[in-house]
Amino acid sequence: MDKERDLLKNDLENQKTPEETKKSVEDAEILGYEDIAEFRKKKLGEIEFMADEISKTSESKISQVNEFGGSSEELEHRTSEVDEKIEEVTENAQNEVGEVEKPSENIQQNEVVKVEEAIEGEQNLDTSGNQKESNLEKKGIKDGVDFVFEQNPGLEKIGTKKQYSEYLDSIFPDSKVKDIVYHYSSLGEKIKEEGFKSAVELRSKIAGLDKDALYFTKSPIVYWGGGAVDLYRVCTLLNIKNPLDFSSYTENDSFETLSEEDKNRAKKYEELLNKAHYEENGLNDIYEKSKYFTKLLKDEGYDSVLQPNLSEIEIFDKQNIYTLGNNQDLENFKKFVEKT
Amino acid sequence: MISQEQAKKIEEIYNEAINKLKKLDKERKGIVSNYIKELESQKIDAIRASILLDNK
Repeated sequence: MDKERDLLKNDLENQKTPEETKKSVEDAEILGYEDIAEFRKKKLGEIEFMADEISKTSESKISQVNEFGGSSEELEHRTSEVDEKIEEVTENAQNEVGEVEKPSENIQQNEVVKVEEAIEGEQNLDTSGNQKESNLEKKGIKDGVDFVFEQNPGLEKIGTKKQYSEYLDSIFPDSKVKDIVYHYSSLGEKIKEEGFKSAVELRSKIAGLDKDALYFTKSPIVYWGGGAVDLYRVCTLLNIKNPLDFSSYTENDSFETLSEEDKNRAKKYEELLNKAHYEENGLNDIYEKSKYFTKLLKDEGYDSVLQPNLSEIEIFDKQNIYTLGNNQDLENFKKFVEKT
Repeated sequence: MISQEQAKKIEEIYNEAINKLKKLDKERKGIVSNYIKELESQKIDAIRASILLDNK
């Protein structure tokens, strides 16, 4: 408890400037993952800590009161009104922050369902919402290629969608995830041309990242933010050889209904998560804990984590990401077409 | 996942709460100091009274 207090005190002493806060948010955007619940928790934790601290009377003041014949009860009585106001400030902040997050919470609860619907939807509709070509016509064209072509008209001048699909299959032939997956970010266009950066490079200290990873999804829509979030969709292929794989889990699964193998996998994840984030390990900073959690997963041989229905793919090494539609991709596709 | 607007809003609520708490901290410390001053002067008065009583 003392340690937690020290940590929070340290945070308070190092309050971020608006510029630093903005940078943290941008860093998180680049990573493509930011947990509002953790961010909220951190901020409310700081408010609660400060409220708790200022509601106390220091030992030296209490000694002075006793020395001059006063009583703690009287002191309490005199400060009670201010203490109530302090409590009120904390409660109001909790309520107000809760209001900000409300829509996201609802969305989080339905997240997996929405991703399933979105993925299912893409199989029937093209990016403009029209019925796709028949299955026969579409044969040999990878899901998501329509969108990549729409986003990058230069591809059409080089080859057909079928050729592009064949080319994509040649990029990471041994990957366990062959689908086109997406990374959403307000800085997506920049990422597409300049490449991804890891959390270590960004030195992002924003709370909520439990791993030093880059985040992707199979969902073709931004399913969080109640539809109000307008982010650029970066299309990618990932080289995933040994994932900690929860992708087959469904929303109806509980620990009891899992197979023995799945139970062991879930236990392993839990064990490493606890070791890095919740048990005493000498690390005080969430950023350091996240790096440690990733190291533990890597030491076990994992290169990524696949969440249910590929709603989220967390990949540790940016070398295993191939971005579609940028100059390099166009160049490589051209070479592929020329060869075949 | 959140948008920058949500993070910004939380930051604003946080800053407002911290500013209010800082003011209340000053107010509370003032109440405690005043109480101590009050007790101190009561004690001085009591000492004065007892000295006067001794001198009578």
